[in-house]
Amino acid sequence: MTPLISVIMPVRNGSNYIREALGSLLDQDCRLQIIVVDDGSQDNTADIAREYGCTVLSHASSQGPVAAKNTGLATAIGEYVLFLDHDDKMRAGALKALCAALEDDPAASAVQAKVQDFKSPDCSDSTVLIKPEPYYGLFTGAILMRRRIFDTIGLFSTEQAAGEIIDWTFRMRQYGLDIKKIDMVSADRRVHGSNFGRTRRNEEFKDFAAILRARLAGKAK
Amino acid sequence: MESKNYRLNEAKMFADITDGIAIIINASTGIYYGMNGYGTGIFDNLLAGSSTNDILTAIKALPDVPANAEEHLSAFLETLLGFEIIIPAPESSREASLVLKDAVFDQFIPVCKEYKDVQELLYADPIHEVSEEEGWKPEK
Repeated sequence: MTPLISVIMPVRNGSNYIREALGSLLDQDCRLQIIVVDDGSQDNTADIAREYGCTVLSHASSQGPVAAKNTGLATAIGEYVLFLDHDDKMRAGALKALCAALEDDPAASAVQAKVQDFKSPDCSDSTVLIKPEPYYGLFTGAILMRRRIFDTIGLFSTEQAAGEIIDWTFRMRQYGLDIKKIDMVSADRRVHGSNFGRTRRNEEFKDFAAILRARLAGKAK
Repeated sequence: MESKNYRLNEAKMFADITDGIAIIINASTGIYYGMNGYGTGIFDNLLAGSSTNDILTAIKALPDVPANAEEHLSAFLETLLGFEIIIPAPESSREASLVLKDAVFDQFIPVCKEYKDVQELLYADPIHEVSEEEGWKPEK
């Protein structure tokens, strides 16, 4: 039997795009546990997720994407875990390919593929800029990881409102856990006027700076 | 030293000063920079509008300042300009203040180092949709 993959989708007020994201998971030919963590949405995000047969976990009020990831992890039972943002889309067959790559390399703790940006059709913001070439993605739709790594490195740090992915990556390195790169595009990442990273840029930069400052302090010891 | 004013090169750089240590991130390259405490103090005064002469005056007011403190300041400013962390700003003046213990601890040598070890991570993160021309190309 093929291994079960837990796909965790943290979302808040995501009714505009979540159908596309969930629909992209139907083309994966894998055994999936899809966990939608509804972070205090005020729209019908949770209803849509239930339509697709997802496990829906709800925060009564918003706790942010980091806490939502941790909430999803607490319910994940798959051997492997993948995070997918509600506005991004997996490419057909990509999850199966990621899974096969991880199965083939027992020494790898995670596999990392590339993502390709696309401008959301409903975006009229001319300042939105798109990376022209695929690039190795950080989490959403790009990294399939063994669930057990969280027993080693712990959950995501909720001390940061953002930047948790870089913190996660540092901890993976710290514990000598290998992330194997695969030269394939696994997901399309939607860029629009309200991406979390765009709208909270300064806050995320501050979190990055805090992580980097701690890293430098560690180097100095 | 000719007095000049500088400001953060905001088109490329994000700067954060916390606990007396500056971290600057180049949003278009993923390269980041870290300063020692004394360098951070100088940088903080620059961003606040002090001229290089204002800062030099504050340095010279510290006890036991070494004779080559001005040279170190000039070299530090050249480093910041070379990294494109700062760019020239309109002339202004503001009394500068520096923390003596930082200056003494760092032996009156301000330092800014460049780090590329997480460049790929910072590059891949969505926050790098910078709007500068030399950043990501707009979709056609």
